[in-house]
Formats: sequence, structure tokens, C-alpha cells
Amino acid sequence: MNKSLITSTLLVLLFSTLAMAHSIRVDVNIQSPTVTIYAGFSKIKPIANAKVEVFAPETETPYQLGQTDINGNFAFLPNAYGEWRIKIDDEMGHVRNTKINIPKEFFTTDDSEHETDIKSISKVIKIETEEEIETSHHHSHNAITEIPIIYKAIFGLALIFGITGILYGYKANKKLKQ
Amino acid sequence: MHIADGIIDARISIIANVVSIGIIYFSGRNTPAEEIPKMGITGAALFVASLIHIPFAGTSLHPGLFGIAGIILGRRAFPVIFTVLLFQSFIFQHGGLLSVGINSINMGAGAFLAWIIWKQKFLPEYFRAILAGFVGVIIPALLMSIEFQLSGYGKGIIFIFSIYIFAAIVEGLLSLSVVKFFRKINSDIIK
Repeated sequence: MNKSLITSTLLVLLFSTLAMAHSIRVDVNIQSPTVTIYAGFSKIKPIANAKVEVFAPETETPYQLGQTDINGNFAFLPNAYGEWRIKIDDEMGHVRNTKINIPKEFFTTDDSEHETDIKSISKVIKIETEEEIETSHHHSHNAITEIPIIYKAIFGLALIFGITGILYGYKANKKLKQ
Repeated sequence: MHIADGIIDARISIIANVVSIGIIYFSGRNTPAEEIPKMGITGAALFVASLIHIPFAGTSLHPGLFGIAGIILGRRAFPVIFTVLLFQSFIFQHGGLLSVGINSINMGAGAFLAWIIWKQKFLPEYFRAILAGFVGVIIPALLMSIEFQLSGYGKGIIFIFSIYIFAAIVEGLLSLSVVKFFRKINSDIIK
């Protein structure tokens, strides 16, 4: 009986950690003259129609407002160098603030230098970001649908065997006492 | 075969849940301790059976094993079916949470009838096994079709029902092989 209890408790704990670890991944690709962003829960699980807000350096008014497309992509054309801020909100309880640095070379127009500049700047960069997870009803619902089916099946089986163990222990104990 | 929430009137769903809890009480009380592991294992089989999808005629079918549950557990199949459907509903989103009662009654009726057929010892065993598996699918499908019809979702139900006839035949053969297996290993799991 105790073993089943421990197993089911451990599984519940494991699943709560899995749900917490579920966050927005942001990939930024800077290639003059555009900046493209990919937002997803993983490389293969894009977040479609997430709200995107772009802020130019040292401004509080959004430079551009929009949504990611069905593949989780979003693009914009910066007009100044410096630190740009991008806020991605999936409207299901995940918000991610990303800061990207647009270098001066990004705006170089000289054709001869252009190619080398692109080579040096164009790369997928991973950027330090801060994430806020808002707790909401949607969040927990979303988190459970993200779990692979095999984990769900194991989780359900553990619950069934756990309940069976508890009931069996209870009945057997009752019988012993008689 | 799992009815989602919002198809059947909420009041009927709530009544079905109350009725289900009543049936659980009457069919599950005084369960001997030895029966419980059997119920757990059957429940586990029922739970994972829904993950095996067989594509057929533009839709997909999965084994229900309600006939087998009826053969193995008899009247104690109902509490097991209710629990399994409850877990499937909140883990896999198979069927609505509020409709668990009505789904359990549909599928429990199939298991109950399978048990009644299994008890008719004068019939040959292979025939009872196939028929029990068959009614374990066809009775829930019939009840579901009637409920859909009454809720105004009539169209296409005849088609869905005809697909379930195929599923019921497969299930009948499946329950025959399960019974054969238990006889071969000389188990007293089935009486």
C-alpha cells in the first residue's frame, strides 16, 4: 500500500515539474534590413498568433504591434541601432521579454561592405531574456495538453494502480482485523 | 464513442452522474479484497486500450474491451468503467468531464449485457465470448446513437453506427482470443 502511495506521489510531483518547465523559447535572427523572431514552446512547437510588441531603443511607445504567424514567426525592420525590446505574449499566461542589440553596421548601405557585414551579423543569436509566467486557468490547462501522450498514459496507469493498491490495502487490513 | 460536454443537456448529464454514483455504490459494495487487483488490472487495460487507434472509413476506432470487462468482472465492471472514463476524460480529454456519467451508463450497459450473456452456460463458450464482445461495443454505440438523435445531432449517426458494427465484430474476436488465452493458461480469472 505504501509503495503505491509513494509511486503516485512521486509521479504527481514529476508532472508538476514538467508543467513548470514549459516556457517560451525565442530565437532571433538579425539579417539586415530585417529582424525575424521565432517564438515557440520548442523548435517544433511554434506559438501561433502570439501578441508581439516591439519597442525602439529608449522609447515606451510601441514601434510595431502584431502577431506571430502560424509557424510562430514575426519580422520587423528596425530604424535605429541600440537595444530593442520585444514582448511576446501567448495570451495563455506566458509572457517573454527579449532584448536585442542592433549594431551600427546593420544600417551600412555601402554595397562593397554590405556582404561582409551581413556575414558578420547574420546569425541566429540566443539572447538573455526574462520571463514572466502568469498563473491563470489557461496556463494549467495548456500545460497538461503539452505533456506527451506516453507520460499521460503512465500517469493514468500509476493513478489506477495506486488506487487499486490503496483499496486492496484497506480491504485486506479490514479482513485481518476481523 | 465518448460523448463530449455540451452535446447532451447539462441537467441530463448531472442526473446521469448521480445515477452512476448510485450504481457504483450498489455494484461495488462488499467487494472482497481478492477482487480488487483484478479490477485494477482490468481498469488499466481499459485505460490504455483507448490509445490503440485503428484508422477505418475516414474515422478511427479503438478497442473498448467492455465485453471483456463484463466477462472478467461481472457486475463490478461498472465502478471500473466509471473510474477509467473519468481518468480518460481529464488526462486524454476523451469525452467531457460532465458527461462521464452518461458515458459510463452507455458503456456499463454493454459490459452488463456481456456479463448476462456470459452467464448463459448452456451456450457454447466460444459463442458466448464472441457475443459478449460484440454487445460490449454495439450496446454503447446504440445508446450513444439514440442520445445523439434525441439531442438533435441526428445526421450521420446511422453511418457512425454502421462503423461500430465492424468494430463490434473485431471486439467479439478479441474477446474470444482473451477467453481462449485464459483457458489455455488455466487461470481462474474468468469463471
